[in-house]
Amino acid sequence: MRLSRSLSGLTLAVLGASLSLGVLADATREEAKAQKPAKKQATAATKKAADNLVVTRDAVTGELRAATADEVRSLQGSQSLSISTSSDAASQPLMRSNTGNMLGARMTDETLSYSVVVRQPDGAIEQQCAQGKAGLEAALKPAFTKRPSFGALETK
Amino acid sequence: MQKNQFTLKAIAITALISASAAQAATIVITSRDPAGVGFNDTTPVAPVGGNAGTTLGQQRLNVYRAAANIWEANLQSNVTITVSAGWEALTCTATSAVLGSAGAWNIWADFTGGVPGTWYPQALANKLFGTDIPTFIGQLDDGTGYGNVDIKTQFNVNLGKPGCLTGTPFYLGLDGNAGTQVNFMTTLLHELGHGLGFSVLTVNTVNGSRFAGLPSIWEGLMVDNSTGKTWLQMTNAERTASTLNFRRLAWKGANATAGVPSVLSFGVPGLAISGINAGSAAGQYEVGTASFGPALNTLGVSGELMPVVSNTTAAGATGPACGPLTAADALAVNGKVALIDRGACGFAVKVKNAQNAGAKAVVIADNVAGSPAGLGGADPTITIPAVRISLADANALKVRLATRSRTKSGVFANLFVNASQFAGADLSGRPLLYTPNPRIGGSSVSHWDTIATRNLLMEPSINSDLTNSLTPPFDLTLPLLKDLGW
Repeated sequence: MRLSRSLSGLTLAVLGASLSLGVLADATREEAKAQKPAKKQATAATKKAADNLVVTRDAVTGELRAATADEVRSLQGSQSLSISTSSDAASQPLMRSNTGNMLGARMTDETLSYSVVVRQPDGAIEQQCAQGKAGLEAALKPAFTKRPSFGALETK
Repeated sequence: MQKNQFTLKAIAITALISASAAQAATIVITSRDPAGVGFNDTTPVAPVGGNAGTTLGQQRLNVYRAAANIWEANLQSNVTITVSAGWEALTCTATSAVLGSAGAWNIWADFTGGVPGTWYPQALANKLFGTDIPTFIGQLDDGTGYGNVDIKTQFNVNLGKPGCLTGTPFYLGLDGNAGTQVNFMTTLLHELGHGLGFSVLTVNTVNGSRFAGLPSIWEGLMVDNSTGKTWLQMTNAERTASTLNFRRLAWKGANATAGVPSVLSFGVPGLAISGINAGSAAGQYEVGTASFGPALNTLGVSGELMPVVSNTTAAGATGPACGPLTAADALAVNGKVALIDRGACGFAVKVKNAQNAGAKAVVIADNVAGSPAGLGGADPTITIPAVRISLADANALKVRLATRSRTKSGVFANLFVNASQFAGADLSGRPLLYTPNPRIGGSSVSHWDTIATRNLLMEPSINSDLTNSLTPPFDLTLPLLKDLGW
């Protein structure tokens, strides 16, 4: 089943208020059959935390359910960490799904492509495109222009 | 938040593409700027370079619209492409600045029309699905007003002001004559290209991992020439290694490959190693070329490779070949190709000293890891060619040179230009993606390699000679996007 395979281990923040948590629950119904007590707890948690629109996979049932406040805080913390350690989209986006089993994610400013310009000591302007906010720090240093170009400027 | 939607599709462009209007893309740009800022800046300005706007805000808008028009004229989609735009105070100093950013703001997988289990940027997903996916599923906005757009963009509202790349603003003309200013039109075209899909998108190039375990649509078209594997076939570790495999990662898409002969020029400089003692070091090496001395040519310059080994010169200078060579080194390189370590003095100094000792060419061995950059410097009296090779390649050669006499090594070098290889493509004629080693500031993989000649819009560096064309014989941007499904 697609959701079970692809979203395992992820905490998902649902962006659209129209998203049906019930549909997500249906998607994992079969695997939850053997764990009804835990599923009931998860369903209860879903109702409690429905307002925060953040979904997580229950560690016991494997089912998607609304996240608790602690889990939301944990999600936010992990996002902050990932921003500083990766320049790529993989650690950033928030997930959502819908009745057609489509998977979607909304990106963040951390994942965009950034165009950066640095004035070199000789006054020349060098422009570079860096993917992800994490790439900016390196790109904003004049030294970044020294290595990548074919026929670069190092003289010694 | 003031929303100022403008769908100012130029009448001329509309007429031009009316024959295929049912399929041509429409791009809607929506401003996030408050009153008096960005697009709404009423500061009077003189028309420039074909931009007839008379306020700063109007000129900015005109460039956005012109860039969108170019994309519209090249893309086909029955679903409107939405772009959120804003002018904001982005990071800058007097000598550097973030010009702006852009990218796909939503991504989708497992929609009808796409490759199953594969991430797509929303604009392309919408085209393939046939309708706007957020609308189809009833996806509400996230409260920002732009949560469901295809592409989010922002550019630096302060560029050129004191303390923000002082004195170097965006050039808002449409004619490419940016001079010493920053060409906003080209920059915007490039960044919109990323937002439309010119990006590996959801793969972490630092560790090779995939978002939610699913590949992006790029990965099946990226092939590593060292292993023959596409990124789809690789482990995380293999993808990570591939991002650093200098000039070995090619794009195998049929459209982009077909465009190579009409866009790129023949001629790739290289170093060929051969000889009875070359052993496993025999083969062709990537090189950086010199800004001094004669240019390499297809005939090449060949000779036995001999190292300069002394760190002290005949004149007492410290550093390999930083002064007149010692008698032993001079004997070794006379009439040969000299292998000289980088360091302690300028490249031109080393090459000139080797030339004075009778060397017919010089190979500079880098002293730091990474792909070989060029050799800067100037000396009009230098008459022999020189190249730089990577530290790793140099170390491999030195192993073979360890067993040599004072005048013979059995290892031969040829500095040449491969006239049968396109500059920016592999030996199979497939365009190369940018894989510098070490990784460069997030630029890796989602751009064309910088060796491409002519210069291409989607190289990591924005070059001043770019046209606004996205298609052959000027560019390979659109063919790559077509390979993705555009």
